[in-house]
Amino acid sequence: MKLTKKRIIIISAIVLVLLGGLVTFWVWQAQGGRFFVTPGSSSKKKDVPQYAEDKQQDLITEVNKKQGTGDYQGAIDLLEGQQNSGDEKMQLLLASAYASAGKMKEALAIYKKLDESGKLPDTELENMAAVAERAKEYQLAIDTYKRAKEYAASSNEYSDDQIATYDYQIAELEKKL
Amino acid sequence: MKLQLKRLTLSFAAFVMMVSPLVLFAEQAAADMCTVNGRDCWYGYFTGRYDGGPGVRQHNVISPPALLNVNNVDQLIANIGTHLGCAGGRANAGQNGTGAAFIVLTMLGYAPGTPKNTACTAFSEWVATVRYWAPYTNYNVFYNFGGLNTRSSYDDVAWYPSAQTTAWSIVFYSPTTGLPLYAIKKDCANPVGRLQRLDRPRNYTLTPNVQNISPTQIEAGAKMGAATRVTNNGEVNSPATQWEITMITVQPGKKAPHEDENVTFSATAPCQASGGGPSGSYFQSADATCKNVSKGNQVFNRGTTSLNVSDVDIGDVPVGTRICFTLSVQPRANVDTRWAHSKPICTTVGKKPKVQIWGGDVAVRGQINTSTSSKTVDGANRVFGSWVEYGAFSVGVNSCFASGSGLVNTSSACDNQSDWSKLTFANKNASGADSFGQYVAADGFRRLPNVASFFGAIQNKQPVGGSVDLGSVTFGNNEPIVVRTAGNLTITGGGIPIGRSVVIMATGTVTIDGNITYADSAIGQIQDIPQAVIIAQNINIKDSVSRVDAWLVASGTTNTCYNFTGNLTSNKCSSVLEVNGPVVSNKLVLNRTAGSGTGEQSGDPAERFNLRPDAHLWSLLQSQGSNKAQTVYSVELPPRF
Repeated sequence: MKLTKKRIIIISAIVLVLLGGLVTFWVWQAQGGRFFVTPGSSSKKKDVPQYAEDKQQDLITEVNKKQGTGDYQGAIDLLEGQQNSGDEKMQLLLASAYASAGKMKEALAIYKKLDESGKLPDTELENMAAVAERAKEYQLAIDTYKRAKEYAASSNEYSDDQIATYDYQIAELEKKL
Repeated sequence: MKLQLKRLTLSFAAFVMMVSPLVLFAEQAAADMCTVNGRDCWYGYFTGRYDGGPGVRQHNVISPPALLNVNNVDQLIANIGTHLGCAGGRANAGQNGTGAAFIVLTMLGYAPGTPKNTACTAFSEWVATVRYWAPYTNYNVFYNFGGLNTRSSYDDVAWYPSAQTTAWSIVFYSPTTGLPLYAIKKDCANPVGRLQRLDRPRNYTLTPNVQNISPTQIEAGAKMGAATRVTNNGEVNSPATQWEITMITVQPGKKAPHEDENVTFSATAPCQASGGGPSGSYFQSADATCKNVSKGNQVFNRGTTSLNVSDVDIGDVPVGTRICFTLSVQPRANVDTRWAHSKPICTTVGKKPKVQIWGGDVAVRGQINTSTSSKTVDGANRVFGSWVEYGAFSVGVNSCFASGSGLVNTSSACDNQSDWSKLTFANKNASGADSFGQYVAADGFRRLPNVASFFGAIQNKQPVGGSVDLGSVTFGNNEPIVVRTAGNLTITGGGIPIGRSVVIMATGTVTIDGNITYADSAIGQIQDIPQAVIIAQNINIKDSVSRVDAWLVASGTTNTCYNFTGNLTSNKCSSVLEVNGPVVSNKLVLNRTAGSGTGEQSGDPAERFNLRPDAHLWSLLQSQGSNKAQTVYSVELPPRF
């Protein structure tokens, strides 16, 4: 049980690194988690109400509301018009708004971009696959469902049936190839 | 080393202290997230049991392909219905039955703990609900549900926090706000996000209808009823809805407003009179007045609801007036706040003509069957009917025919016949109970006065034929009797002067085509009394004749009004006939429709037979002329009570 000075230094360093990482994470969160920005036109940003970082749920509610009244383009405009529309979360929201509006290619472009930059959350893989399927990029959809399946198998986030669900979707897509 | 260990422990504790609030905060957030649906996370909706928590991988609510192929309401209903099963009223066991029940019940807003099988009884309601919400449902939308998902443990469903926040979903939106109310992730059928009950559809349509009115044969002052019903053809019961039954009184020969239309819709209320709803009187017109006779406010369940009204006093209205009933409801449907008015169902006020016999008895070898009219006159209940001034004798039953002028100022109807049957023979049966008529068997009944035999025995006969004015064929009362004989004969009428008489004996039919009247002059002696005797097989009296001062003796039929076509109505034979003299007939047809008016005239007769003293005195004269007093009959009367 006797600890050497060296060991103490190592443990302290680990703790400091963890703390530093935590502080860095908080700072990143506070800045909106931006990794890249693809802002919409400046005129759109002026035309739509802006939602602060801590009001993002209100923004989502507004998007849902617009979709509920059939104003899909309004939902897209609202998201594109946000100052932080280039943020990862905003990009995902925008992709879903495009998809809901039937603009699958635009939606898929966002997913691909996020995926290529390694910023696409694993939980979004099935959504990307679904969009790829509707964009008739069946092979991409199959591949993405397979990745989603791998993630589901390794994560408690999913139910046991989800793997079977992905298998079903993959099988259906393979019929279309 | 103790210090070093202490430092390490403190460092670790500091780390733990820094991280633990984040972990605790996450759990608390997850718990709050789930509680909005009535259960904490990981606790089953049906059983309330903990299902293992986030460390246990559960299952999708419905197995693959779940709702992936559901793209409209019909497919949703088919999918959920198939999974639910409900054979014998029991939801299928296992994952899919449980999941389908969960969807049905949570969509309808049933509280956690509701038995699965309730989904079976509520399934039709759920079907109606999702159909109603179809215009506000998107079957293919990328919905951001905020990371609240569900999982199945095969026999239960629990809420889970989820890192996934967006998925292809079926989303039911509020038609007013556009906000999502209920959402299902398609690939797993997991209801996601905060689930809100979908309001039951309120599609309903109410159709009012008058089934029947009763009685259909009525007279002024009658009390009527109407059987009506409201049919709800909608998917749900109506909310509280006002209804009114309206009576419409239509002038004779006219129609009620909208009588020829089936159910009509209007913002105008049926009738404001007598407490009806405001905003107009749909059933009021220049020819018709209306009156609310019943109203209410109630829920009309799906199907049919009966609404009846009875004992409605139609009022003392003239004959020919039409009485109609109609039913109205408002609002008539969930999408229409107007009234729905049924087609008015009508009947025409008729009358019960009455006969009065003055100055004598009535003796009938069959039944005496008449009726009474009950009505309110000047605020008092009154009963009117047919009556004889003295005795009423019958072999058969006497029904509702008064004796002893018993119907004067009475309020007793036919079921209290004893009140006005003091000279009815008999008015008690052998056991002493009230019983009217059946005085004696036909064999023992009072004998007919044989008038024909008396005058037939007279030798002084002179024939007449064709048409004759009685005033031209008279003989003086101080002279021998002259009997005028004929086959068929038409009497055009005639005035019988003072001191003269006439006797007609016809083997066929005598038609009386004009009034026969005795001279209205002062009479100083018995020989001055004018009198006419008509003896025939049949005696027909025309509708235009209002007075016959004569004896009427028919071996066949005496008809008080014979010259009408078609069915007898209140517009035919509508003048009063007064016969002054004895009437003897094998059959008496009382076709007159006069009288039975309104108010105090409600008891006025259609025919009045008046056996006046002049007939008795003239008879005495004739018997004296023959130097003999003829006993026509004698009978011993039973006691009268």
